[in-house]
Amino acid sequence: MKIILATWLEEKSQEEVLNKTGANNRLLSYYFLNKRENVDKEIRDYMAKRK
Amino acid sequence: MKNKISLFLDSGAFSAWSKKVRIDIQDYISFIKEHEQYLDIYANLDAIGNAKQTLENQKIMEKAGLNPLPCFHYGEDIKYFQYYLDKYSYIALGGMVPIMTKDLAKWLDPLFSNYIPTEIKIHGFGLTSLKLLLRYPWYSVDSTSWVMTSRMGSVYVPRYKQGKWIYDEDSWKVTVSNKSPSQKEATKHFNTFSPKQQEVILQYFHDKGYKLGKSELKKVDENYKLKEGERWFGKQDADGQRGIHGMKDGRVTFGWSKDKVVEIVIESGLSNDYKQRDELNIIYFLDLEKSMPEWPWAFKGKQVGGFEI
Repeated sequence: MKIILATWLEEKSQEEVLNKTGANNRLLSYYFLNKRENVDKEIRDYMAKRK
Repeated sequence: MKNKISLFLDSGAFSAWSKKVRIDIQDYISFIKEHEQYLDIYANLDAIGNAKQTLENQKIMEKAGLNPLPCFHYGEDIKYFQYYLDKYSYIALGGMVPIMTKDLAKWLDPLFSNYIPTEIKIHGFGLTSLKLLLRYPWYSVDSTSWVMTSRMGSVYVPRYKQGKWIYDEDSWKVTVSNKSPSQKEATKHFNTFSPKQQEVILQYFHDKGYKLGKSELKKVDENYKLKEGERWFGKQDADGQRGIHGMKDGRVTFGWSKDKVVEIVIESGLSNDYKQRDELNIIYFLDLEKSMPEWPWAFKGKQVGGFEI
């Protein structure tokens, strides 16, 4: 069984801890948040760092 | 080849529904298409309380060239689940978050024993109950518990038996933050555990490379400016009052004050750094995962580990 870590990707620190603990391949994010444009930006930033 | 990582996208339909906001399916489709190269899995846009519309959404998304993960919810007509079982090899079960564990077991037992073939992958949305995690052969589950627990000032600590950390029994949720309101709850805060239990908890922190940490507090006047290594302690409300916790005669105290209080971090650790709590909770879930039997395995319809449901 794979446990996927759901989060809101609101903070850069979450990205840091996921990377540090080797859990960065098990992330769930939500399309609907209070401000969709933030999700969009967060995902872009998150992906850009991983390239 | 496009750069793909394992990001799982859920629609967040339940949150939207609870805030009386409607998610436009065409917007959702556009969003997925725009980010598809980064998404490993994306869920169907589920219509809360409407299995027919959920299936309709599945078809709309497929017509648009997408392959969303189908979702079947607690309490829905089983005919929809049978449809998904005939057509898909990976299906999500949802709508479980507000339902009690006992009631979920009554729903899940027949699903796993009568309907779900061993080779079909099942994802459990928002599954936090350890009893349910252990009882059924989930292929995958997701949970926000790691971050929710951490932000409430707590960390998971597994039980310790015969020289080993045990993951098939309910773990302790130990509040370590010196800011958390749950310090008021006598059985949860680190300071309220017995000396022997505290020893076990500290051993776990040590084994995983973490420390409890230590801070000192001092009252300051209104015009005080923070120095290096200092930060404001307690959250200020609209009236300018701060929730302040402390220790007196070995007991946790809590009160509201207009005093400004500064925290000086003597030793960084779980009690004063939420990032470290995030990390330790992730480690707990990774260890829990490692302790589970490898998928696939057949549901046996009986209790697993030390639990009864």
